[in-house]
Amino acid sequence: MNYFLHLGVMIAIYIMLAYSLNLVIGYGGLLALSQAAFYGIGAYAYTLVSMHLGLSFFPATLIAMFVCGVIGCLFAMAVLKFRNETFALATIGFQMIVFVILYNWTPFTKGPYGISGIARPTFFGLTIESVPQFFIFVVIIALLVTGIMKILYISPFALSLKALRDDEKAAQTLGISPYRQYVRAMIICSAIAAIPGACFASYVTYIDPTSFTLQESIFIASILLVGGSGNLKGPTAGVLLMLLLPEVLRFVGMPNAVAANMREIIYGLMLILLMYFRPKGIAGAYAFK
Amino acid sequence: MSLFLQLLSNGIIQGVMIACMAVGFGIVYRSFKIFHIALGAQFIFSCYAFYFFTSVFPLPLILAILMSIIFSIAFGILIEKAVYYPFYKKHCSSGVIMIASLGVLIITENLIALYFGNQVKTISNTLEPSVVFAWLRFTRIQLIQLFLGSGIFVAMGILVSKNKIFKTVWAMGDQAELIPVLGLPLLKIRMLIISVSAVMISVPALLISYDIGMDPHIGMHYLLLAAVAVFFGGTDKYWAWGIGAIVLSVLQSLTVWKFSARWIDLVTFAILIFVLMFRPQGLMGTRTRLEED
Repeated sequence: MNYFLHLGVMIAIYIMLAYSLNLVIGYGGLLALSQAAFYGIGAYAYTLVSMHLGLSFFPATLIAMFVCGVIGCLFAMAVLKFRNETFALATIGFQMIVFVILYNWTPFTKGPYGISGIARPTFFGLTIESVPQFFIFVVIIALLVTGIMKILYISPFALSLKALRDDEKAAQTLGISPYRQYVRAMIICSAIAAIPGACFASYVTYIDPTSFTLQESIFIASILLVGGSGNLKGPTAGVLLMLLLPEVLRFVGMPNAVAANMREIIYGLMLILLMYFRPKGIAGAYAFK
Repeated sequence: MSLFLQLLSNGIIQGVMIACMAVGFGIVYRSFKIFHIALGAQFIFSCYAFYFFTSVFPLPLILAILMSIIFSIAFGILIEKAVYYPFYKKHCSSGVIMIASLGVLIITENLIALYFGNQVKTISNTLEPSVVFAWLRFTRIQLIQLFLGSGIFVAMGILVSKNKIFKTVWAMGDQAELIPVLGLPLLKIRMLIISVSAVMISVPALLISYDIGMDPHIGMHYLLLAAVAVFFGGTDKYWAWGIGAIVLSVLQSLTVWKFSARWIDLVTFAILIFVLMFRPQGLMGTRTRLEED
């Protein structure tokens, strides 16, 4: 039972990551390959704040969101004059820089050794210890986040992002500032990524930089490219497919060593085939340009 | 001082290798506006082809090198025929092709990992004999990297600037659809460009894998180095790619000298973002008018 609940926790975490990135990729049309960097910054910020300041889950998560939002804002201000491949390359650069800092700034992050002994969330004296409890906790948070994102997706802000995505020059003639709207989108995307970061850190009670690599960023972006983006269904379909596929491979009796590589090969194939036959992804509303 | 000079020399040698890879990336990007992520796949494919022909199915070294380069070209043509050209025919955008190219890299590295395993493989198990010039010490493979790498980089530069086909492709820039208007066969030219790219990536791949070994996941690292060198130097100028690669590599060496090898990637990508922000045309690129973008 715990196995399925663990899977449910991971699905909830990736749903939050996918929904936040959906704002930039699906609504903004910008291929950002740096979501794992913000996820990692969020996890580390939460961990350090909760350990050193003794804050409980929600205040520590709010501070982590603030840290991610500020960094996301600065990063967006620097790179938002680029589009297409150049923007993607800049986000890869940012992702690599964050990884190097997490890996090598040992006095602060403990580098490759990681940080262990992260406290579980506590509310009114009740500590969320067991997997079922954590499952309920993270599902509630994921529902809150998806609810907020759902409201955001139908807001004039998301509509303006869609307008920019579809025709930036035409949108500008309507008075929409690409720079301002994209910076806002990046701030929201990075700040929201801190929430799954905090959930992940408090769930596994140990973090190290290898959870926040470029491969992880590519994986999160692939969720949207395969499942689809620009709506609510696409990211959900992507998360379910990408997270359940390895489990399916395991159930058909494929050895773990082979299954890991086979899973990646299937992802790669899906990327090529979907880009060719269905660039909107399985259930998306936006065909990537 | 001698440490500085040694690191500087090592940086220049590594820069020559990155310059060759930058040509492999830049020539496809400049000619067809494809962000050639599959170049990372070609890098690891070349390494493992070389490993196969030296360790699994041993051939004499020269023959193994030739076979590896031929296989790398064949692999490049396969990517072009199976992925890039169908996408081009369907008028897909460069972003879509880039994602498909990423798919090629993911598939290749995992297929190789399935067959050869995820652990590091080495080809040469003996200590390389070293040569001493003044205070500087080089291994034999480093000297081969320097002279062979510089040779093919310069030769390709001359070819690109003198040969009619390359000049035409270069002049067309990202409007490859204009090539048939000049009576040139587009498909063959695409295959030629991909083959040149395959050669330019396979030579450093072979030399680097012979020197330090390989694992199935190194492709992305070298692809990013090549891409950074191209954007750093300037995407529109062939010789700028080489200068970008060497300056980048020397800066990496200075990082090792002054700080630590651990911060090399930080310096590499900080340079990339800094250049993109303040000089998006690259070190040697020329600014284009807004109307040209």
